[in-house]
Amino acid sequence: MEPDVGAGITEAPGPARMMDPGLSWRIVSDGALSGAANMARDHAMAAALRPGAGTVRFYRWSPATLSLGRNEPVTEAYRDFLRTRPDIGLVRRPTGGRAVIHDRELTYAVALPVRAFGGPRQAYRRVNEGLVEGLRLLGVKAVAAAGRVLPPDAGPCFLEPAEGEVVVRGRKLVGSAQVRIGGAVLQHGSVLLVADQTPLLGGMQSCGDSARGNGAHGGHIEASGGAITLTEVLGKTPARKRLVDAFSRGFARALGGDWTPGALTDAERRLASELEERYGSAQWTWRRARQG
Amino acid sequence: MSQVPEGLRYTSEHEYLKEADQPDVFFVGITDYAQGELGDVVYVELPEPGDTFAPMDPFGTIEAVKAVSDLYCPVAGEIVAVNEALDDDPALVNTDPYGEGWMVKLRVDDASELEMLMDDAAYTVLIGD
Repeated sequence: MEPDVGAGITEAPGPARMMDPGLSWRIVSDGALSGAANMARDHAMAAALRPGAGTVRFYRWSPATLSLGRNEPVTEAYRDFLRTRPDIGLVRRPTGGRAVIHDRELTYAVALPVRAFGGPRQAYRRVNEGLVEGLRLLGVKAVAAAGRVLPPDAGPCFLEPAEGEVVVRGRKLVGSAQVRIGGAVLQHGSVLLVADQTPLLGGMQSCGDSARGNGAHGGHIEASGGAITLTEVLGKTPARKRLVDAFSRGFARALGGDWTPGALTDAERRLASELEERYGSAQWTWRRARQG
Repeated sequence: MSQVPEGLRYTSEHEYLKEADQPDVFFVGITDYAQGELGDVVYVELPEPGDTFAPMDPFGTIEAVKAVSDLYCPVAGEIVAVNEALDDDPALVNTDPYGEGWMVKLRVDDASELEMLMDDAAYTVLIGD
């Protein structure tokens, strides 16, 4: 079954599906955790994925955290940011891509069998279709970007969209990244609500895109660089439940299969506890610490 | 249709071994099919010469449009060289996977283990070409 949809969301046909592998999906809605705990949970739900199953997790961050891509150098701009904001946590993701400040956002993670839709690229496209569909249910017209091919040292994630990422009015609303873990693909990403990515941009403003929201609003900035936030698009910040409902339904339409609410298993929690040590270690976090 | 050259050995994880210029030393890289599946390669993380690996140990990672995958050592052996050209131009993996896009040179512990890997015909069946 598809998940329940919150009030005010209009029914409409979902995207056409070329292939539905008929996976059994579980939706996990978590609270706010540290960067290391969140990365460990995402990793664990992919590593422990059962054949024929998939998991979607929604979560938050406490404290607000700067996450780095798996192979991204720690640049001087990031160091400066961390020096001036000791309240911000730091973690390196298992996934590729570039830096994100996780603060006021909806974070999603999807774990699915690597061959469910043919391969990792097809999974990437399909998950992004789910994001676009979830946004459509919220009343937002979004598309998958054509984008450029960006290396891990190309600057922060929301500076500009990479291929396939979700954009609104040409600006990036959702930043996503992926890793293959055994027979599973893990993709996670951030839907910006009122998130402040400006400190990461330094002098690297996106082409023709000066910082739009250069005034602080209670310690946050409305929009920045090549990014756009859901609050800017809708004129208000949707309630978390409405967001989770909309994206759950969006994923269900794009990914097919059977959907039920759930929680991480005891085995997944144990594995996550083990992995949290790795994701909290300086050896992992600073593995590419060269100046840049 | 992906290129699957004759005379190479292949794994189910889409790595190949190709004879190099010394006895028991092989170029290891990913296949044309694999690079096509990954898309544009933006970063390759490789081990150091002298590192040793058991069969199917991860020996590095490859990142393509924000997707990271492990690279698996096809058979036991020691790394004798890495392709430093990939630091500056990881897209060589896309443009010339069996040539300039090689990743490491591996001195295999037991060359007879290669017989357990796929030849070009078996690998072609695997990828469905």
